[in-house]
Amino acid sequence: MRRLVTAPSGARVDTEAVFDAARAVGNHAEAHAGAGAEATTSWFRVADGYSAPETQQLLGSMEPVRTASESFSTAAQAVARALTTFAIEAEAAEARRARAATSIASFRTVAKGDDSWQQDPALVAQNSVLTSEVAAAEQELCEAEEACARAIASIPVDAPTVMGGAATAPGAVPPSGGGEWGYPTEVSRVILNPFFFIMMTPEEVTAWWDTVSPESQAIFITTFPALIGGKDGLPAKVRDEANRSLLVSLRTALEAEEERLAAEEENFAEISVQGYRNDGQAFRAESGGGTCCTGNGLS
Amino acid sequence: MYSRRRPVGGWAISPASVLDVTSETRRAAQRLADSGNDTIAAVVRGGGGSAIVQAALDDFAARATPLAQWSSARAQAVADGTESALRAYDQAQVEMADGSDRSQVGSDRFAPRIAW
Repeated sequence: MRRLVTAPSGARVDTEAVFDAARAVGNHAEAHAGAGAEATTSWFRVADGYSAPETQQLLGSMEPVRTASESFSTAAQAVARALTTFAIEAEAAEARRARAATSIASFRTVAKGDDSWQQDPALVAQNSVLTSEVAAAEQELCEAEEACARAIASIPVDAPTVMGGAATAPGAVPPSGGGEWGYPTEVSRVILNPFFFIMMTPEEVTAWWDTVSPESQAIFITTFPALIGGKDGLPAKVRDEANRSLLVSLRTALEAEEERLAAEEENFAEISVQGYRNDGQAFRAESGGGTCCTGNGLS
Repeated sequence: MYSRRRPVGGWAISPASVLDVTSETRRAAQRLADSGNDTIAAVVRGGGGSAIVQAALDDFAARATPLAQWSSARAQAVADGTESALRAYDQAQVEMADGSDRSQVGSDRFAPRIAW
């Protein structure tokens, strides 16, 4: 006994809302990076009224604001791209579902009433086709959802950098919970305060380190090695571990950058060649009034 | 609030000029806080009814919020620290103006405070 196909309910995903969110995320992220760059640039004017041997350090103290805001903006822009791709793919899947629903409604007017349609091979075949079509549309939507979720989950969120150079491991994620900014309070009060170590003697640095919990010490060593690697008063073993950790993170960052640049170069070359090759075809396809775009690697 | 510019121990600071910049920095810090919060708010609105996408967005928001807020806090901290240095500088000038033996003490004490 076959089941008569039923029309799927209305759209499961509000694609307009996703498009709107993607646009808003992109715009706010751009504003964030702009505000960070502006803060850093305007900070240079401080040199007009401040002359001291440490002026360069003072000028550099705002640089992490630019890098952190850019880093956040880059991650958020990646979310915006993933959402845009999802919205395009979900829109196509929803359109397919809607077309199937219309066909099913027509089919059911023919096959309604009793099960006599099951005796008609043509109607049975049509029932199967429509059932498959609904399942395929649903499958398409599920795949789009999963791809989007995977893309978002893989976006790295770098921990904030601190003064004194590349201080964090690339891709390091601030621990959740704990104190301010996701770090234990005894960590955040140091990383947020560029003046924390001012006037501290090596003995005072030793005394401070002894008050820091082992968990927070590990965070300093692995996530903010640049902050403590050169600090007199800390145990040599700690400084050694921090500096090794910093070297590893610097190497990883440089290798990642090298890979990114190589991929960019390769992509650019490929796009240029494809662009020339497909230029005419693309224009023809566009003017042909295609119904949807399935999205191709926007994320 | 601050005394007029006068070099102290090799440092020369124009408080009014620096305060003008720190005020701008505080405004920038506010813009950073606003844009960071707005971005996160837009992120968590992006699910469009899809539970799996919404869960990924919520997770991203949790991971990214500390970074979103960090720039603003850092800019604020730099402005605070710089104004602290100005106050120390001002105090050193006052002590020098007293013409007392404390002037050298003030200069020595002041110097490391702004040496960050």
